[in-house]
Amino acid sequence: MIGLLRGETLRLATTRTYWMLAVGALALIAAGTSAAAATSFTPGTSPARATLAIAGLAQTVALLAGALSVTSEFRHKTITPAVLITPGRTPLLVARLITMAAAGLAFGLAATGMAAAITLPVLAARHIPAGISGTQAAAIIVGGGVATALAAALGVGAGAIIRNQVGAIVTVLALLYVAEPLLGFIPHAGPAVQRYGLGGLAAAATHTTGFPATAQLLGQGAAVLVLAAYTAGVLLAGAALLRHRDITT
Amino acid sequence: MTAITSTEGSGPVARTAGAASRRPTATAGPAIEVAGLRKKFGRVAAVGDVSFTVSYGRITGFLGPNGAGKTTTLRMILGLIRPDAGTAVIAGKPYAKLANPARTVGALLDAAAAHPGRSGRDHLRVLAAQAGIHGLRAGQLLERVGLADAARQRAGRYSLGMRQRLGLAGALLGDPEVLVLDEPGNGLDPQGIRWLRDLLRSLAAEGRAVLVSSHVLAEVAQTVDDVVVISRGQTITQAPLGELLAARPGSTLEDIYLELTGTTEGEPS
Repeated sequence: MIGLLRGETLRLATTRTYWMLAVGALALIAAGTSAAAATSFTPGTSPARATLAIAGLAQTVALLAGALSVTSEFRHKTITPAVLITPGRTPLLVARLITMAAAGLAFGLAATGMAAAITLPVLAARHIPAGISGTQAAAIIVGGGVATALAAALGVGAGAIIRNQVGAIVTVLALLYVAEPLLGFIPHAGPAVQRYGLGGLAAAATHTTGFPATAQLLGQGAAVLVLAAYTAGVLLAGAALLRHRDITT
Repeated sequence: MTAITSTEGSGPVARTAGAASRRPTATAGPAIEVAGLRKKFGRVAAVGDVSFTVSYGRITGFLGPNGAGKTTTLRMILGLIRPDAGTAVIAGKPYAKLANPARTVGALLDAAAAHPGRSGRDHLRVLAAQAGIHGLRAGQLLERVGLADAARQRAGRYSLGMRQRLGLAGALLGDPEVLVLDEPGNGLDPQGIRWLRDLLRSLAAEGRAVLVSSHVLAEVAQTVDDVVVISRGQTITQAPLGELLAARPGSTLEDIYLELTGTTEGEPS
């Protein structure tokens, strides 16, 4: 397993795609939080929590990166040499899961920490109360790290299920940005989707505001647990499929 | 496992002389033994009934028309595709049961199997780390396959021939005693073909077993010791090349191959 983890770390470090995704996302989050903190103010909610929700982009990017880490192996056919070295296949997925989740944790902490470091001073300069305590700010940053780690792990599982790169990316984005927001408008069922959908869980896990901002979210701990349960389920399904499917590319 | 082909005891060949030095006594049986492999994809029978053996210290050419089931058979030997029936063992064990697969078997199945954004050197370093092999070997192998100058270049910029060389370096990473190579000569220039032939011969001379599929029969005739021909998913023949040629005086390997596979047109690809 140590060799596999070393290989995975090297793979991650030598693939420019992940670095470009991370740098691009951090730049977008910096620009978004700067603009929001400097101009907007959402009545009825904490301006800091609403602004820091922008750092949730880190989770979407981590989810995509996790999926890419598996689908690109099928796209570029490197799954064949990888599985030849690790015929059991499951240890390969476990090593990838650990590596991507660790990278997701670091990336999530950096993204949310940076967003807080921009938002709080800007709000203070505008004499707008942030509406969160120092402990709550810490909970938001730690929650951002944990949620992003889970998102990366979820992506790894999703990529193992949907091996086609375009298919995996389109499915993930459609679920996050089309299906969940639309289902949230269904009477009666809507609030449950807002609460237990990935968007609502990520918002609750990071202690920020969901979509819509009035959505009734779970507590931070409960949201992390539910998100972890989803992730475990998707990973187990992905591992079973990876073990049983023929590798023809 | 019982012997399943007619080549057992088919007589000594000069090139096996140096073979015993490398081959461990524990693996004194055939390097690869394939028995009754079958595989359907959906309703299409890719492999109907394939059986053959590959010996240590010899190069075995694996021949057949496009669509005959060569690649599917190689992937079943390597545990990548699950057969519907039949067995394939390497050094006496199914691939998945090998204690250290990368040090036992080296395979090149697709020259394009590298991330285009990663350098050839990094590609090998990732594989080496996964296999528990020291990263320095990546550099040595790049030199051995003639890619030292392009080691830091992104694999996406490699020509097909360069990617074949990178794939061969990957196959040799664990210093394996069995090599499985699918069309390794594709994209190589004449110098590359000569280099590949010499490489395969030196590997076999060291006692390793080499199973190599190819369409280039003139090249195969110059390289291999044994020939396995399959067509429409079935083994047609397995024999030492010398025996095949001796049985049909005046015929070339190409004549024999076309006669055996029953067509002078070839299968549509």
